[in-house]
Amino acid sequence: MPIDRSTQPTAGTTRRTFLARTAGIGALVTAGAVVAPTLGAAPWAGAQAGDSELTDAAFASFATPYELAAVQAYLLALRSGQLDATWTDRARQFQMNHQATADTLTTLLGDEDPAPRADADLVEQLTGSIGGAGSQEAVLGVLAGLEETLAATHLSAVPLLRDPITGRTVAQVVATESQQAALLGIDSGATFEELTPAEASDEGGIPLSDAPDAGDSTGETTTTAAN
Amino acid sequence: MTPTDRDASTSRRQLLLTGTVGAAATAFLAACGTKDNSKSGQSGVDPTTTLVTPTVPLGEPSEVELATEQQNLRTAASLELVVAAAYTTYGPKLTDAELSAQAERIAGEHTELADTFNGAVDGADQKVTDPNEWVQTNVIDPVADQMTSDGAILSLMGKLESTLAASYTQVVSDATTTEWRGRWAAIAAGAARRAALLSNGGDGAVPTSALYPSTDAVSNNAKLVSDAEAEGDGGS
Repeated sequence: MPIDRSTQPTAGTTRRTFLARTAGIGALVTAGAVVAPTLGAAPWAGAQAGDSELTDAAFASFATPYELAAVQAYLLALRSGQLDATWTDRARQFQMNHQATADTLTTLLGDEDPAPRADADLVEQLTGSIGGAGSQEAVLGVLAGLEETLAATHLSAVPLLRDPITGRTVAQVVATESQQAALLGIDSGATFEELTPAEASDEGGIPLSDAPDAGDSTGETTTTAAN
Repeated sequence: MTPTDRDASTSRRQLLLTGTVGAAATAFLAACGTKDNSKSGQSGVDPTTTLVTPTVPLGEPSEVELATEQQNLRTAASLELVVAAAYTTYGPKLTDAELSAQAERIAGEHTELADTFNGAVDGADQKVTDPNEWVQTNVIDPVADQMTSDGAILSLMGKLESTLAASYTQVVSDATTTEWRGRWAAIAAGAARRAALLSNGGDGAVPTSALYPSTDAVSNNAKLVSDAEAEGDGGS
């Protein structure tokens, strides 16, 4: 089906360039590629308008494991022995932010959804990347790539979420994770210009087509009616 | 850290509302009506790619919702213009040549974003060509005599960027199309990135909340109303 890319931000190249040139990020940038080949048809491919939106529960089921993987990534970074005092404090804060995001998303899950766990594939990649990072700059580079990926993933969901209030909440997550990406990026060798595009981009995000079928998200409710 | 307990006592609504605390008091444009998204529509997606934003309406917006969106767009255009003007005014005063060059670049980008917002404003006579007067008078002018160091200038720029980020994230839910819901979020995130690096005199500001706070959102007093509303019964 036609997808109009004309309205998309044009900053993707800059961000991609940054990601490509930052040591240790390559594996994370392709996190989506790890997921994508395992996908079947997108659950809403060919769906009628109105049926193809992303429910809160479907998105939460998809995204929470990645947020929990980020929590694990910061734990790995903190244990790496590579971070100075400033970045130790920051890493702890960023870790808390990801846990808080996971907590928020978890409340959106349906009653029948299983308790979320950190995405095993992403954790495995991060373990290798952070474990192999020989300097603080390298560790921060890995984490920057992770933040870029997560921010882009969330951004791609914002327009699709059925509940506009959830859309706004996820937009707030995007903004925070974008800040974390920028702060990590500047201290891992990226330039200010590379890190400050006019608009953020959803390019490089993990494909949302991995989200469970919205139709399976029974028990889904929205906050719209109450607002 | 372990996965969150699903039985967390905080309810979903509480958590979502946490992200909007203060929004009623500080968000520059609050939705005036309820949304009916029961007939929301959007195209299907390519299963092999990250989803992109189709340009379709989110159900049938009410007149109030459409008016709110127009106000959001007009206000945003004025905010972009006032921020661009700040960069243009104070960027050349930066002693760091690289930073000064970046300020010039960012000023141009804010001007382009103003064009973007204006492009979605209905009616040629409603396009916004003037910088936001309230922000100029109440945020920028009061600190004008303090713009004597790179640190002070960068802090002001960081503050203005955070204002944009907070204001735009708060109106994501007001968007009447999927395109603009995503666009507000993307532009907000761009501003958030600049805020993170420029704040605190260029030392950067670490986000201490998972959800970008609404506290920096621009005052309701900065809101632009249409000519019709200004001449009417006081607006919605």
